[in-house]
Amino acid sequence: MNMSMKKIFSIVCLSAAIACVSACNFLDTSSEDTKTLDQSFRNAEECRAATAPLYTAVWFDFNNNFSFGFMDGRANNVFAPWSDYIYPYVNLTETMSTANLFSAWQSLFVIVNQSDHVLNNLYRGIDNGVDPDVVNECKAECRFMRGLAYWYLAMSWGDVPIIEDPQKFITNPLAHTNPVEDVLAFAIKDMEFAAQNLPETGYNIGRVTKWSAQGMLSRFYNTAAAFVRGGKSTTGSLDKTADQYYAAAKEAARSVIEDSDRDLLENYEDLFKVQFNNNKEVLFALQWVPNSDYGTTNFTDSYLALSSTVVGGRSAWGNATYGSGELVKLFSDRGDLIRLKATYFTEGCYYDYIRTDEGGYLVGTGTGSYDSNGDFQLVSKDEYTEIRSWIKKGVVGCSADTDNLATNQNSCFDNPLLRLADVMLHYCEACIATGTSTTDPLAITVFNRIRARAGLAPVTEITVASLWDERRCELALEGVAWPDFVRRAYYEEAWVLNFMSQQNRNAGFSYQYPTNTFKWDTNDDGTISKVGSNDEEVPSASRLRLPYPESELIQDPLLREAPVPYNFND
Amino acid sequence: MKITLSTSFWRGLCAAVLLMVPVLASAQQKTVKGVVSDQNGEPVISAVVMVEGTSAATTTGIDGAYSIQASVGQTLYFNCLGYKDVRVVVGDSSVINVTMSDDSSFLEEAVAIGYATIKKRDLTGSVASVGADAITKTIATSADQVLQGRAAGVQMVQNSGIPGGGSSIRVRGVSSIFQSSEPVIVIDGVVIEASTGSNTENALASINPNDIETMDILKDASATAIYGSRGANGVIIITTKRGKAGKAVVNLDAQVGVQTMAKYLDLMDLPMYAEHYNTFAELRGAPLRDEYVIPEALPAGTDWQRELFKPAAMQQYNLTVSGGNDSATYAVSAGYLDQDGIAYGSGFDRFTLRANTDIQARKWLKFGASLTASRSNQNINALASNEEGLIQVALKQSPAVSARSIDGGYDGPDDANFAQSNPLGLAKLLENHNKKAGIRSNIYAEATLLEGLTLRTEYSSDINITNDYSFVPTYKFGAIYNSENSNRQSKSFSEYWSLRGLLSYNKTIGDHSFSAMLGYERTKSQWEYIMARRLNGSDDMHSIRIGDVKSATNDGQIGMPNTLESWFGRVFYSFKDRYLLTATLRYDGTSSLPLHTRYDIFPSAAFAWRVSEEPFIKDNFDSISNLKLRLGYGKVGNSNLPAMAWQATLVSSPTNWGTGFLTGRIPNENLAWEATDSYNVGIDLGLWRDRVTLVFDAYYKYINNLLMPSQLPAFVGTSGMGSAQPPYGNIGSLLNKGFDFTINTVNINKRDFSWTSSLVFSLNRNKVTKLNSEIATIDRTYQVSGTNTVVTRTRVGSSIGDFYGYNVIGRINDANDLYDKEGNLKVAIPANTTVNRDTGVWVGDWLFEDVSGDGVIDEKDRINLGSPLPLFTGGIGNTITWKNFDFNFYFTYSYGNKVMNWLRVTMDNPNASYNKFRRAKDYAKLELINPKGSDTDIYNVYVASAGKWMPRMSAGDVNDNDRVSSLYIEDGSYLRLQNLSIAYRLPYKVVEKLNISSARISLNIQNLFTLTRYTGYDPEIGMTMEQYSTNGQDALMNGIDTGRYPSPRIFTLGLNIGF
Repeated sequence: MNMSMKKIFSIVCLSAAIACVSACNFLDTSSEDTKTLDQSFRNAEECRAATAPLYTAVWFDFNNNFSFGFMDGRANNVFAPWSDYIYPYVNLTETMSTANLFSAWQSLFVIVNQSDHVLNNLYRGIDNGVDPDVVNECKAECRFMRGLAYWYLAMSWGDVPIIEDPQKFITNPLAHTNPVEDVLAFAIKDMEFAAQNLPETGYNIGRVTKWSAQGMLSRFYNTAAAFVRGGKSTTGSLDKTADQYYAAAKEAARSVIEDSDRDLLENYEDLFKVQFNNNKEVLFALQWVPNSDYGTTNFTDSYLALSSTVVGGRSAWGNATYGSGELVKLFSDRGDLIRLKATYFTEGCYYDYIRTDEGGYLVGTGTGSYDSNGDFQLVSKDEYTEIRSWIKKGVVGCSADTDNLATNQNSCFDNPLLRLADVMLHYCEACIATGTSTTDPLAITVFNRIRARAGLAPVTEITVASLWDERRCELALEGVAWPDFVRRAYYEEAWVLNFMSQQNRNAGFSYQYPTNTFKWDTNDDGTISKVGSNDEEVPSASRLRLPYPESELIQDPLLREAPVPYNFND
Repeated sequence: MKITLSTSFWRGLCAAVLLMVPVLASAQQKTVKGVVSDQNGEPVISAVVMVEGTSAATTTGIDGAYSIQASVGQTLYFNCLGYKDVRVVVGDSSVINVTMSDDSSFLEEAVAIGYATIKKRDLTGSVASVGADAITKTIATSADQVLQGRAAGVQMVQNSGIPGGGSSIRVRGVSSIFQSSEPVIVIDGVVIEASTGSNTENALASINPNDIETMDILKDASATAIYGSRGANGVIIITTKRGKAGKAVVNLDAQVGVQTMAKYLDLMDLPMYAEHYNTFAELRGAPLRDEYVIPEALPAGTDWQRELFKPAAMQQYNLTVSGGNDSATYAVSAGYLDQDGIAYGSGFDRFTLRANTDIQARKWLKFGASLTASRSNQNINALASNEEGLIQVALKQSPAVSARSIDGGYDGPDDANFAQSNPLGLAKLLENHNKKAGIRSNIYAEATLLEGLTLRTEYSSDINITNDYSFVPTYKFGAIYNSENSNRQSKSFSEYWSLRGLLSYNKTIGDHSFSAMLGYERTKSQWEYIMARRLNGSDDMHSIRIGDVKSATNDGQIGMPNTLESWFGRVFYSFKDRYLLTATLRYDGTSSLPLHTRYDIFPSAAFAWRVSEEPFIKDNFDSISNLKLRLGYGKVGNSNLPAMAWQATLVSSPTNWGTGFLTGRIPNENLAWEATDSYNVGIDLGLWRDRVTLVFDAYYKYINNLLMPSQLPAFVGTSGMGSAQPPYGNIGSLLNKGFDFTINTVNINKRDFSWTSSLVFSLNRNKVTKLNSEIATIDRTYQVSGTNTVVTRTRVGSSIGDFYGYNVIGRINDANDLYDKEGNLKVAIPANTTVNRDTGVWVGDWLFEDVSGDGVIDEKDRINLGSPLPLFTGGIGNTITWKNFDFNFYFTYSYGNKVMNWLRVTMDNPNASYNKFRRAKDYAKLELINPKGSDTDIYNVYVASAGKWMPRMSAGDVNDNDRVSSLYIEDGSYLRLQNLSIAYRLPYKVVEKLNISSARISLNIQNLFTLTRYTGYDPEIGMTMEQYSTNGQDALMNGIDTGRYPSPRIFTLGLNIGF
C-alpha cells in the first residue's frame, strides 16, 4: 500500500514537473502598455500616432523657459535680474553650465532624434501597405520638426552635430560639430521636403500643412540669404546667392500670403488667448494637452505670471521677470499701445478678459472692473513689492478665462512658433533683400495690414529700420527676437553689436499705460540706474553664439574641435 | 469561567506578593559530593552545579570536585559551556560523579543555505546568522533594523527615521549603479523582491520581527549561487518560527514605549533673526520692518522644531501559540504594532497574522504550509506633502511667524514671496498615507521515496495591494493660500508566485558523507496600478467622486510580467568530517533578455577543511576547539532590468489627437546577463571550548558586464522630456573587496553571573572600474533656487557617488589675502568678476581652490569632495546576566563616511531670508581699518568677527559663497548606543505559582546617544530621495542630508509571558 502510494505521489509530482517544463514559452511575456516596433506603423492611424507627440512632449524643455529666457532675453525683450535662468542670457554672461542651457540643447536634440526615429521607421508603413501619401506626409511632419529644431540650434549655438541616424552615434557617441552653414542647409532641405509633401489642409487641426512649411521656408531662406550675403559661406552647402535666397524667400512667403487659407486674425490680443488656439493666422503652434501630466503641458505662464492673483491661484513665479525698458519705450514712442498691452503688463493696463471671474484685472491694483462712472471697483487687491512692467504674452489668466482649460502649471495655450504676420514680415524682408527699402505693393499691403491691426498709420515705404522695429513689436516674446539679431549679424555684425550695447539692459524705468508716459530710473548723477547688481558683458562676436553645455563637452570632447563639413548624401 | 478567571487572578496577586518572600526548602538535606569529568576523564573546571528549583548552587574546582547540600529526590543540574547539560536525581548515595560530554551545539546549529539547511560545521561558504535572541533584544519594528551592526559584511542604513520607513541593505558593498543593490529576501521560501530601498517603502515592514526564528545572510557567491540570478546582491533567508511537538506553548509579548527627538538643532530665535534681518535689509536698501526695530525687546518667537516634533507613543503586542504532536505541529501568531511618529504627519501601524503548520501524514509523506497576512497603514505626510519635506520647511520658517492663528487655525507669513509655509498646518491638514495588505503563502509536500531520497514540491506566492492617498485641502496660512483642493488616489496590485520541485539525496558510507539536490523552479511576478485624481472637491469628504468631474485625470499601467525559469543542483561531499566540498550549478533563464542570451550557467564551488578535526591539532592543541579554513569561488548573474529593455519600444504620450507613441527605448539586442565573480577566503576559529569564536572572511567581488543604461551625450536624444531611453548595455564594471569578521567571547560564565561580548566588523572598498567610455561620467544634481547643481559625480577609478564641488581654501580676511605686495591679484576669483564691494568679490568672501590653475574659478575647478561610503562599519555588543537580570547593550558604528549637509546651504547662508542656524550670526562682519577711510577701499577693510566658518553678508553674493563646496561636506562617522536593555526574568518559583511557564519584564532604550562630529540631526543618512520625490533610492544620491526624518530615541517597557 505504502509503496503504491509513493508511486502515485511520485508520478503526480513528476508529471506536474514535466508539464511545467513542456510549457516552453514561459519566458515569452508581452506588455500591455508599451508597443514594440512590430505593433506599430501597421496602418495610417499608427503612422500618424507616431508623429503626433512631435507637437508636444519633445518641445517641453525648450518651451519651458529657454524660449523666452534666451530667445527673447538675449534680444533684451525680457530681463530678470534675480532669475539665473534668464539674466545670464540678458547680460551675455552665460557659461557652459548656466541654468537651462543644457536642457534647451537637450530638448532641441530630442526633437531631432525623435523625428529621426520616426523617419527611420516609416518604411514599415510602406511594408505594411499604408498609403504612400500618408507615409510621405508623416515623413514631411518629421522633417518639418527636425528642420525647425536645427534652425533654432543654428540660431543658438551655430555649429552643431547633424544627426540623421541616431543608432550610429549611440554605438559611438562622439561627434564633431558640423558648420552652421551645413546646419542651415540641412534645415532648408528638411523644410523643402516638408513643403513638397505636406497637404494643404492638415489631417487634424493643428497639424502642419504645406503652408506651415512654406512659411517656415521664407524664414529659413532669409536666414540663408543673410548668411551668404555676409560672406560667411565656407562649405558651399548654401549654394545660392543672397539674391536667389531672397527671391526664394519672397516666393515662399508670397504663396502663403496669397495662396493659402491663412489670414490675419482681426484682433491682435486674441492671438494669445486659449480660445483662439490654432486660429486662422497660425501656421505652426505647439499642441499642449489639457488635463495631462507634466511634460505635455504649457508651463510658461507659471514662469511668467507676475502674481498668483493674475492667474487665479495657479503657479506664478514671474514676479521678478520684467519687460525691458528699451522695448517698452519703443512701443511707447511709436504709440504702439495695442501690442504693448498684449505683450506686457504695464501699470494702469486694464484687461477685461483676465480674471473674468472677478470682473477683470488692473495692473498695479488687482482684480475688479470699472463701473459706469469710470471708477475702478476693486474686488481683490494684488500684492506688489514694486510695480514694474511684467510679461503678459503667454500668461492666460485664471481657469475661467480659458473656458476652464488652464489648470495649475498648464496654461493650455497653444503658442504659435510661426504665424502669418511673421511670414508677411519675412516677405517684406525678402523684398528689401540687399537693398535698403522696398515699395513692393504686396509688401506694403501686408505691412500696413499688420500696422492697421496694431492701430498704427499706414506707410508707403518699408525701410530696413522700420521693418526691424515692426518685427520687434509684432513678434516680441514669441521666440524669434534673438534669431532676428543673429540673422542681421551675419552681414551687419558691427551694427548688431553696437545696437546691443545701447539697449540699456537691466535698466530701471517706470511706465504709465493710460498716459503713455515713460521714464528711465536715474541715479543721483543722472545716469540710468540698473535693477539688480549682476555684471553685464560688452557685446562681442563670440556672444552671438552660446557655449556648448559643460556636461556635453565632457561626454563628447570632439565638440571642442573645429567643425567638420557635413556629408550630404542625397 | 468567571470564577476560574478570578481564581487565577487571586493566584497571580498572591504570587506577586510572594515574590518578596524568600522561599525556603524544608526537606531533609545532606551533603552530596563528586567529581565532574569529560569523556577523556579530564576534570571539568568551573562547571555549575545546582539543585533544581532552589537557589543552592556551587561550582567545580580545578580537580572537578564539588560539594553541595541536597535532599533525596531533588535534581542536581550540571552546566558548563561547551558541554551538554546533565541532570541527576539525588538518590541514597552521597557521591555523584558525572561525566559531561562535549556539546558542539554551536556547530550543530542549522543554517539555511537556500532550499535546504546545513549544520554550521558543514558550511563551506560565507553565511552570517542573526537569531531570534537578537530580535528579542532589539525593539525592532521591522526586521531590517535587527541587522544593523549584527551581521558582518552587511551594512544596513535607515534611509529615513519615519515610522515604517525604508532602509538600504548592502551585502558587501554597492553592486549596481542604476539598479537596486538590495539583497533578495527569502521568507519561508517566498522571494520578496528587493524593494526595501525607498524612504517610505519597506518590504520588510509587513513582517512581524517577532515571528522570525533566524535570519541567515548568504554573502559570497558560493553560497548565493544556488539562487543564481537572484543572488547577485546577496540573499537574506528569513525562517519564521515553527511549532515543536509537545504541549502548546503560548507566548504573550507586550511593549509600550515613548519616542522622543534625540537632538534638536540650534536655530536662531526671534531677536537674533530680527537683528539679522535688519542688518541684511539695511545692506540691500530694502525697507525695514517696524516690528523688528528693537530686536532685543522681541519674544523668543516660534520654535518650529518643537512645533513640528513631539514625543510619540508606541505599542506592540504579539501572541504566539505553538505546539503539536508527532503527526502535526503548528505555530500561530498575531501581532499588532502602532507607532506614532515624532513629527506630526507621520505614523505607522501594522497587523500581522501568521500560521505555520507541518503535517506528517505518513511516515514517508509530509505536508506543510506557511501563511502570513498583513495589513499596514503608514502616514508619510511629513515627507511627502511638500517639495522639500516638512522638516526642511520647519527649519527654514521664520520664528516671527506664529504656528497658530488667534482663531485656532494655522498662521503663516504676511508675504507669500520667498516665504515658507506652515509645516504644522501642512502636517495636520494634508493627507499623505498608504494602506497595504498582503498575503504571503507557501505550501509544500515532501515524500521520502527511498531511504535518503526525498522529493519536495513547493508553491509560494506573495500578493500585495497598496493604496496611496494624497489629499490637499484648501487652506490659508497668513498670505499663503491654496484655493483649489486636490485629491489623488492610486491602487496597485502585485503578485508573485513560484513553483519548484526539489529532489534530494543523502548518503553516508563510512567516512564518506554525500548529499545532492536537484531542482527546477519557475517564478513569475507582475504588477499593475491605477490612479485617479480630481480637483475642487470637498475638504471634508475625500472620495474621488466628490471632486469636479471636469478636472478628472487618471492613469494606469499593467506592468509586463517578469518570468524566470531555472534548473539547479548542489552536491555536498565530506570526508571524515574534515574535508568538505560544496559544488553548485544553476542554469537560469529570464524573460527580460533576448532569446539568444536569456539562458546562462552560474557555477560555484567551495572547499572547507576542518583543521581542528585533524589528529595533530586534536592531540597537540587543546585550546583549539574549532578551526576551519574555507575557500570559495562563484559566479552569479543578474538580470535586473526594466521590462523590454532590449527591445525597440514605443511609449504612449498624450496628444490632442488621441494617444501618440514616441520611441521609448533604443534597443540593444545583444543585452546579456550581468555576472559577478566572487572569491572568498574564510577562517572559523573556536578557542577554549568556543569561549572565543572568530569568523573571518575576506572577499573580492568583481561585477562584470554591469547592466546599465548607456551614458550618452544629449545630442543623441536619450535624455530629457520626451526623449527615448538610452539603450541598456552590459557596460560597466564594479569592484567590491574587503573583509569582515565577528568575534564572540564568553568573558564570564558563572551560575549567577555571565558576560558575553561580540564584535562585528565590516570593511568594504568600492570602485567603479569601467563605464561605457573612459570619459563617461554619471552626475546627479540637486536644485538650488531653480538651478540644477551637480552634487555627486561618478567616474571610473573612484567609488560610486562621490561628492563633487568646489574646494574652499579659506576666506578673504583682508586685502593681503587677495593681493601681493605689488598689488597684483594673487588668488583666483570667479570668472567674469572683479574685486568690488557691491558687484564683485570682496573681503569676507570664500576663496576657492583654482584646481585647473587657469587663474579663474569656474566649473573646471570642481573636484571630488569625498565619498559617502564608510571605511568600515559594525557593532559591539555585550550581554551580562546576573541572577534573573539580563543586561544588554549594543553599539553600532560607522567610520569614514562623508555627509553632504545640504541644510547648511541655506541655513548657514547669511544672505538667505529663511531662518538660520544660530551660528550664522557669526558671519564675517567687516570693519574699517581707518574708521574715517572709505568702505569701498579694499585696503581699508578687514573681517572683524571671530567666527571662522561663515562668509560675509552681501546683497548679490557675486562670489557665489553658497555654491556646492567642501564647506558642506562633514565627517559622518559615529558610534551609537543603539540599544540598551535590562530585563528581569521572574524566578521559577514565582512563575510556577502564577501557573505560567515564564515571565520577563524588560526596559529597552534605543538610540540613547550618538557620538559624532556631524552637526545635523543624525549622521545616519542613507540614500536621499531624488529631489521632489520619495520613491526610489539612488546609489548616486547617498549621504546627502536634506532634512532626513531623524531616528527617534525610543524607551519601551516590555512584558513577556509564556504559558
